[in-house]
Amino acid sequence: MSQNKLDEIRKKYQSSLQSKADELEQCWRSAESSFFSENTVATLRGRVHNLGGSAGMYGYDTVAASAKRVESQLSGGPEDSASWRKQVKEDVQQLVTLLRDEATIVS
Amino acid sequence: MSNPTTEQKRKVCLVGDFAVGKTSLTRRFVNNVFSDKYLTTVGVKIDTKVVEVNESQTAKLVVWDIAGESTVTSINENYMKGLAGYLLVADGTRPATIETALHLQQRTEEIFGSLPFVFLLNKNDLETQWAVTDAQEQLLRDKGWKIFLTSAKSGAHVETAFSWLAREVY
Amino acid sequence: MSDASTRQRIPDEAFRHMQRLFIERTHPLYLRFDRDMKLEDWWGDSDYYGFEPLHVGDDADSKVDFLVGVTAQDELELPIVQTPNGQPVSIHVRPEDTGLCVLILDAASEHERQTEIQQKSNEVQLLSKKQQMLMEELKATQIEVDRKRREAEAANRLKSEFISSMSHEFRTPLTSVLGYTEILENTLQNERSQLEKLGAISRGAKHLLSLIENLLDHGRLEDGAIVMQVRPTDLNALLADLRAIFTPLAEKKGLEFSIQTSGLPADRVLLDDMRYRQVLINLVGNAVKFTETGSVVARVHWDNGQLRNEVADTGPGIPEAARERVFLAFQRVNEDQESGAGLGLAISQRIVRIMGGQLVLESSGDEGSEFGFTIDAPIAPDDGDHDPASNREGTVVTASALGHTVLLAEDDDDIAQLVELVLEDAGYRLVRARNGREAVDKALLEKPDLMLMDMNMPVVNGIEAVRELRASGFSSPVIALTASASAAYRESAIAAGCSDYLVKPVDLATLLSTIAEAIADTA
Ligand SMILES: Nc1nc2c(ncn2[C@@H]2O[C@H](COP(=O)(O)OP(=O)(O)OP(=O)(O)O)[C@@H](O)[C@H]2O)c(=O)[nH]1
Ligand SMILES: [Mg+2]
Repeated sequence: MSQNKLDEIRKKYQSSLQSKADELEQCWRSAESSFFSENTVATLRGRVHNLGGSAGMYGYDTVAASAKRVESQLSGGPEDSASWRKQVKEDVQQLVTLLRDEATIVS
Repeated sequence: MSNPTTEQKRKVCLVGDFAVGKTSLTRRFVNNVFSDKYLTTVGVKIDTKVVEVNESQTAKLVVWDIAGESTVTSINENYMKGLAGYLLVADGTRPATIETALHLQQRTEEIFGSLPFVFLLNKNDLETQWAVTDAQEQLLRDKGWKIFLTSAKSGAHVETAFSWLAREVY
Repeated sequence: MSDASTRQRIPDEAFRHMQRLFIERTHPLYLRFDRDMKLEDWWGDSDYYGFEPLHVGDDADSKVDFLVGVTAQDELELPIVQTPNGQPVSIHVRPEDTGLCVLILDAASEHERQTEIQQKSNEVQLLSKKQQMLMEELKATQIEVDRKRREAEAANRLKSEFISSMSHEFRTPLTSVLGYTEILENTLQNERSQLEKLGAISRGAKHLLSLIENLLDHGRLEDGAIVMQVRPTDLNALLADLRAIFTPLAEKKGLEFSIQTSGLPADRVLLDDMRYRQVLINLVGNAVKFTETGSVVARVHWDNGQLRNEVADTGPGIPEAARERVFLAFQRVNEDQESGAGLGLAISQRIVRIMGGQLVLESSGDEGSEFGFTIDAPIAPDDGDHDPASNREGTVVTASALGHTVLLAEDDDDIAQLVELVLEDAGYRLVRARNGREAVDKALLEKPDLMLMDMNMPVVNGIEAVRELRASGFSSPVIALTASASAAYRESAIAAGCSDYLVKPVDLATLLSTIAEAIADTA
C-alpha cells in the first residue's frame, strides 16, 4: 500500500532537515562575511525559497511560514543595512532552530 | 578673579543626534546630576568646569552643548567656531545615531580640520535595549578612535571621557 | 535702501520712540574689543545677563565664555545661546577696523517658541522609533508562541501514536486468548464449573477488545487519519440491522426498544455507512446499558438530504455537572460506572463532526436522556453498478488517470518525490524534468498528457519554458506550480501559456483533482 511509501519519503524528508539547517547556516555565514554581496544573498534566497515550498507540502507549516518570511525579507534587500541585517539574522536563526527542532522530533 | 590669565580656557563641543544624551552628559560632568526627563536643547548651552590637566595644572573647559542635529548646519558651524576639540555622542539603543555620529565627524573634520575628539556611546546602562550590531562595533573598532561606553545616568566613564579630551586639547 | 537713508526719512521723534521700544524689549548689550581682544568699551545692562563686573582692558577670553576661541577677524551669528546664570541671548559678532564688536540681545521669547516646537517634534520621533521596536519585539514573541504551540502539538501527536501502537499490541494477544477460550469451551462441553469460569474469561476478553477498538479509533480520529468513506447506502436495511442487534439485548433487560422512521427515501443516500452505524450503535448501546426500566427509542427522520437522528431513553439521566464533559475523551458520566474508557461519546462526536453535524445532548433529567444529531445524506446519483469496496483505502484511482502521462518539471527533489508518489499511486505514468531546458526537451519528446511546471527553476525558468513549448505547438495543459500568490505573477504565468496554477505548498488532494479536471477538459 502506498501509505508505507508515503511514510518512507516523509521520514526521508525529516531526516534531511538537519542537513538543510546546516546548509542554510552556511549560506548565511557566507552572505554575512561577504557583506551581503548580491550572489551570496541570491543563493541564500534560493535555498530558503525551495525550503518554503517543500516544507509546506510535507506538512511543516511553521517552517514554511518562517521560510516565506525570510524570503520576502531577502527580496527586500539591505536598504537600512543595520536594522535589516539584524532582523534577517534573527529570522534566519529562527528558521534554522525550527528545522533542527523538527529534525529531532521522533515519530 | 585676581589673575584670570593663569587659568587657560578651552572650548569643546558636544555634537550628535537629538536625545542621545549630550545635555545629560554635560550635567553629569559639570553638576553631577541626572534627570530622566527629556528637555531638548535649543541653540546651545554653555557651561564651564575646571579640570586637572596634569598633577600641577588645572584648566577651565568651556563646554558647548549644541542642539542635536543629524548634520552640521550653518548655524551649528557658527556655534562650533573656535573649538579646540569635540565629543561625538551616539545612543547605543538607537543604532541610527551611530551613523549620524560618523557623518558629523566627517563634516566637522572637513570644516575645522583634524582636531582631537572622543566618541561616546551613551546610555550603556540600558543593557536590554542595547542595539549596536556586531558589524557596527567592528566598524568603530576599525576606525581606531578613542571610544567610551558611557552612562549619564550611572555616571560611568563620563568624567574619564571629558578628562581624556581635556588633556588632548591642552 | 541704505540704513542711512532710512534713518534720514524717519523723524527724530519716531526714531527715539523705536529706540526706546527696542531697548526695553531686547536689553541690548554692546561690547567693543580691540585687535588683541581686550575690552575697550561697553554700553548696556551687563548685570541683566549675569556678567561679572566688566573693566576696560579685560581679556575677552577670561570674561566672556562664549568668546573663547573667537578672534578679532571673526564674523558670527549665534541665534540662541544659554549660560547657566542668564537668559537665552542671541549674539552678533562683527569685525570692525579697530577690533571686534559684539551685540547681545535678549532671545528668551524666541527660545521659548522654538523649544516648544522642537520638543514636540523630537518626542514624536522618539515615540515612533519606540513603537517600531515594540512591534519587532511583538513579532519575536509571536514566533516564540508559535514554537510553543508546535511543540504542544507534537507532544499530542506522540500521545495519539502511543495509544494506537499500544492498542495494536494488545489486540493480537487478546484475539488469541479469545480464540483459545472458544476452543476450550468446545472441548469442555460437560465440565459445568469450568465452563462458567471460561465464560467469565471470554466476557472479560471481549470487553477488553471493544475498549481497545475504541482506543484505536480515538487515536485515528485524533491525528486526522480517518477519511470518511462515503457510499450509496440503503438506510432501511441499515436500520433493520440495528434493530436486530439491539432487540434481544433490550428484551433481556425488560426494556421496550423501537426504531421509528419517517420520510426515509426509497433511494440510497450518500454517507459513510460504517461510521454512521458506529455512532448509532454507540448511542443506542449506551442507552440500553444504562437504562434499567422503561424504554429506548431511536428516531430517524430524513428530509431533503438531511438525516436527523435522536436516541432517547428513560435511564437515570446525566448529572448536571457532567453534562459539559460528556463529549470529552476519557470522561465517564457516572463515577461509579465501571465499564468503558469513556471514549464512546468522544468518538461519536468526532465522527458526527466529520460528517458535517454536531452531536448534542438534547435533554437529560429524571425522565432520561436524549441525544440528537443531523448529518448530510443526499440521495445517491443513480449509477447502478457502484462498487462500494473500490475506494475504501483512501487514495482514489480515477479511471481518467490510467495510462495518462504527466511530466513533472521541478528542481526540488523533496517536492518531486512526494508528487511522483501521489501521482503514480493515482495511476498516472510520470516523467521528471529538473530544469526548464530539460522540461522543454522531454515535453516535446514524450508528449505528456499534462505538465506540472515549477515556475522557479534553474537554467530556463518556468515561464520561458512554457512560452517556448507553446511556440513549438505543444498543446497539452500545463499547470504552473508557483510559490508566489501574487495575482500579477499568476497572470504572467497564464499569459505565457499555462492553463492553470497552484500555489505552493500544494495540497495533494487539490493537485489530484486539478490534474484530473485538466485532463478531462482536453478529452
Ligand atoms: N538610561 C539613560 N538615559 C539617558 C542617558 N543619557 C541621557 N538619557 C536620557 O535620554 C534623554 C535625552 O537626553 P538629553 O541629554 O536631553 O539628550 P540631548 O542629546 O541633549 O538631546 P537634544 O538636546 O534634543 O539634542 C533624556 O530622557 C535622558 O534622561 C543614559 O546614559 N542612560
Ligand atoms: Mg540637549
